[in-house]
Amino acid sequence: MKAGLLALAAACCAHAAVLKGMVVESQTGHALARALIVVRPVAGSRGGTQSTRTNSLGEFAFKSIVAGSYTVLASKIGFAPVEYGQRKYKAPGVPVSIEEGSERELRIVLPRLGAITGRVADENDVGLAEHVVYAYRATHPPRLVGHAETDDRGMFRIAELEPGAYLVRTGPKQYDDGAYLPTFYRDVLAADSARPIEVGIDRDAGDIVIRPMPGGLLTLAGRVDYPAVVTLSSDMGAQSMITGPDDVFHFEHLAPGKYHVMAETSDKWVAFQEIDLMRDRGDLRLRCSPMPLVAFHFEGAADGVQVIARRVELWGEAKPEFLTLKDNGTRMMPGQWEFSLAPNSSWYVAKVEAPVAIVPPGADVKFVLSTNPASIHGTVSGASAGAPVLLEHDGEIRTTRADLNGAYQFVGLGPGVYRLLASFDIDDPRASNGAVAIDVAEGAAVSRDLSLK
Amino acid sequence: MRNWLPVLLACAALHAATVRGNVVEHQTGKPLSRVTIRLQPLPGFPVKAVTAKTNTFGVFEIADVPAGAYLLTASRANFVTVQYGQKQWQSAGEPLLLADGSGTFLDIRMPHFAAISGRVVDENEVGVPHQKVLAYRNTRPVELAAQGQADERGDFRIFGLKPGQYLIRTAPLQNAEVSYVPTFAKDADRAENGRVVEVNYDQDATGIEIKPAQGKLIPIHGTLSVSLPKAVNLTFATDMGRETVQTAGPFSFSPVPPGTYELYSEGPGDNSFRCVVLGGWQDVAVREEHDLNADAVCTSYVTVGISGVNGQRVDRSQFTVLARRIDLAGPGPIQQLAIDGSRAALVPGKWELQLKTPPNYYVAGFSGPGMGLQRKHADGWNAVTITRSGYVSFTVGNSPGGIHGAVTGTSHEPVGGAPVYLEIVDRASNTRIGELRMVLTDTRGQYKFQGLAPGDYNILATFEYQSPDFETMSMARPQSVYVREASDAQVDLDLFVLR
Repeated sequence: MKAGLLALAAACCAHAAVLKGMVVESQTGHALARALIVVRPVAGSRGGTQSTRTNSLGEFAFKSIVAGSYTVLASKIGFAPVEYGQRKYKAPGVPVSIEEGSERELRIVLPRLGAITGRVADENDVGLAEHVVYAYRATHPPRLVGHAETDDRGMFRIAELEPGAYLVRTGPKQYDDGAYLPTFYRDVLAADSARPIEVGIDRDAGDIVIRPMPGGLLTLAGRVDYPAVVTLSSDMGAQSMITGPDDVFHFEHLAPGKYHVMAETSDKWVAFQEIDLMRDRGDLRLRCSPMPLVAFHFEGAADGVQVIARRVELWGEAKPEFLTLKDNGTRMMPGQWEFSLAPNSSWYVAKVEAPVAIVPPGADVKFVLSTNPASIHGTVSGASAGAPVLLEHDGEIRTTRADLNGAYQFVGLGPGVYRLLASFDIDDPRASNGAVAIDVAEGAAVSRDLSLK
Repeated sequence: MRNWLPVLLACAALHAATVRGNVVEHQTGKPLSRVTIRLQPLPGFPVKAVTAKTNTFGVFEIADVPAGAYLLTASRANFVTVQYGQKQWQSAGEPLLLADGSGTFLDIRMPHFAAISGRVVDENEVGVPHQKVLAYRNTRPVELAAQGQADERGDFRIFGLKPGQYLIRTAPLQNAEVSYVPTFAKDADRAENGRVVEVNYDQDATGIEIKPAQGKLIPIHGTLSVSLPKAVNLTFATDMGRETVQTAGPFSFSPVPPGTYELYSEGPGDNSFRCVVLGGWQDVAVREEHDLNADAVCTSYVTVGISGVNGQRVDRSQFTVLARRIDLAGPGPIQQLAIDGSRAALVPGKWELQLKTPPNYYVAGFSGPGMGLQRKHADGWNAVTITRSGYVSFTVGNSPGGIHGAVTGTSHEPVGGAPVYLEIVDRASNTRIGELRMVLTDTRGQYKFQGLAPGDYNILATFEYQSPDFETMSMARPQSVYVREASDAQVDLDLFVLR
């Protein structure tokens, strides 16, 4: 309390600094009105987080900033967010150092994200209207990230894509006298043979012409033992319908392939089935049972445990969510899930045992925790206030920022070989010769100073 | 050419002809597959219509067609349907004459509909992302025709438009950054000051910029009370469209600028006499944010009377009643009203009703809640406001009038397959009442309209238009006809040709 008062007194009597600037659109240099600016102090700075929006002329000003080091983040709907000084998209920005009583002026340039544009055309190169086009991250398996519909000329544009490699695919489409199968660019059915499209920031990857392949589409129909909402999901997303009379359901114009069928009644009874659809099916029977009960077991420790679950769909992973447990259990929708624990300084996860899929009546998920975690700490030398520090282990990367004095630390680590790097430019220690490899023993407190790469 | 028609038809026994053709995209000349070709005989020529599809190369063939005169149309989704022999895209097609044993080859070009594209920008000419953009027909009141959505750069494109004049307007937009009120291009708050964009088929009007004005938007929310424990559809209607939610209690809709809007509910009742349907309807004056109250109350049947002009009974089974709801967004979908005896389920609100009669009847009058008997031109749509229940009534006459005659060309030859347009007019206000009717002349150039209510009509025979509005009809100098009860007027027409 006393210390707090002293700090407050120091803050009030120092001359506050001014941080101001302007935000402009990268392509045109036009001022960006109403952009959100957030300044966050680097650990060890005395100031707090502040935010404001640019005025009509694209200008912003923080009139009483406590001297220190700050990261400055600018964002606006329809633009890629930018941390001041960042070298590329999503890279950490360089903290802005502000002297007492000074005035610092920044110019921040906001680019757009990327986009893929093109056309869906028939065998005569005539544009096909009302075809859905999907964009996937070119991962294994591909992960669905966006979609659009072609206009009357067959043109499409899938926008607001992060930089990276993408696959583009048309959806199935039925006409009176035939149908088109889902077809990847460039005119292939399998994702493995698809041609990736490189999307850059602030750029449209254009002229992607897809000629969908003709072929037969299928029907999947059946009955649930209760009235229910039936959801059919595939690698092109999900569609739902409410069962009709006699609790029947019916999906048509489906491409051959893998599907997940799930039914959910109004009182939360569920059914789940995986299907490899190769021909029309009208006989699917879904039997509902109570939602599966998942019991979580924590061996070694249980304090401060927070379970994070992420549903794995055929189109990719859903957003992770924190689970609310009652007596270390909860009811979950059937299907494939991935589990992890929120990081904690007093233990680390040594082992996870979970079934491939959650099915009724339930499942057990076991975390083996060790209460003897290791830690790595040290100091980054050079112009190091707020320097990003990256730690890689088994392909998983943790990041932190050094404080005002260049000090950093990672806690809650298991034993193993780690790669460590301090850099504003490189986002993976494996990609840098300058990374430091450390063999960390169980419970060790490793001290390692770094120089900024 | 048309002079041959009677001769040709006279000798057209049942000998066959063949029609082949080639269909391409008008702008590019690329072959169009999957085009439906329909060959429709002229009225009075007793053969069936035939259809065919173009193949991958855009080619079609229809063999074994009886010689004669046909109307040929080509249609494909997202293209304008074209007719053989059209002078322009908006003209009606002329008949295709197929001589005995002949082979005819046609080149058909299909245009796209019109489109309007542009950008929504802020005060610094920076694109406004994700703004909904509306296209209205430039009528008074304006009529919502189509809509589109701007992308993250503010670029929009509204397509599938018919030729004509449009006004482009942004819908309200509210997000963490800004609140924009609806604005007509370029920066007008009212349609009168909006920029008029004229488009034609196969044409993109580009570069339309809209700079929406910042202003206050009011969130719409409240509670619906329903007489039965079930959810009903609740619709919020504005001149920018409709939003419908299903609820049994709380509701919310997208924010709107201050103004007067409509809120109505609709759902099935419990099948009892007192509760045929659940419904409610109100004008909502939105000035500032507050909780709105709406209801969906039990409503009994609306009685639909159909009787003769002198009160005599008629066989109701010969008539059908069409209904469409009218709200600020315009007319809703047309539905056939299910009438049980004389009782129909019609939820409260503003409706338009139309009676469809057999040819030996005409609609003579209409009356509804709060209005006297309308004896004037009741055979189109009749506006009525339904409250809890009530009584609507049609009177029908069983001695309708008719018009018939011959259409001849410049050399007094009969013209087959010519569209003849008929409109009821109000001479006092010089406007069209009800809907345009159209028949085609038969192979001898004869036409006939039946089941007409007595009154003033304009009639025009022409290939120049497909669906002329009142102004277009007037410019073409139509013939005026007064149709009397039980009389069949003979009106011979000269084919109107634009020069």
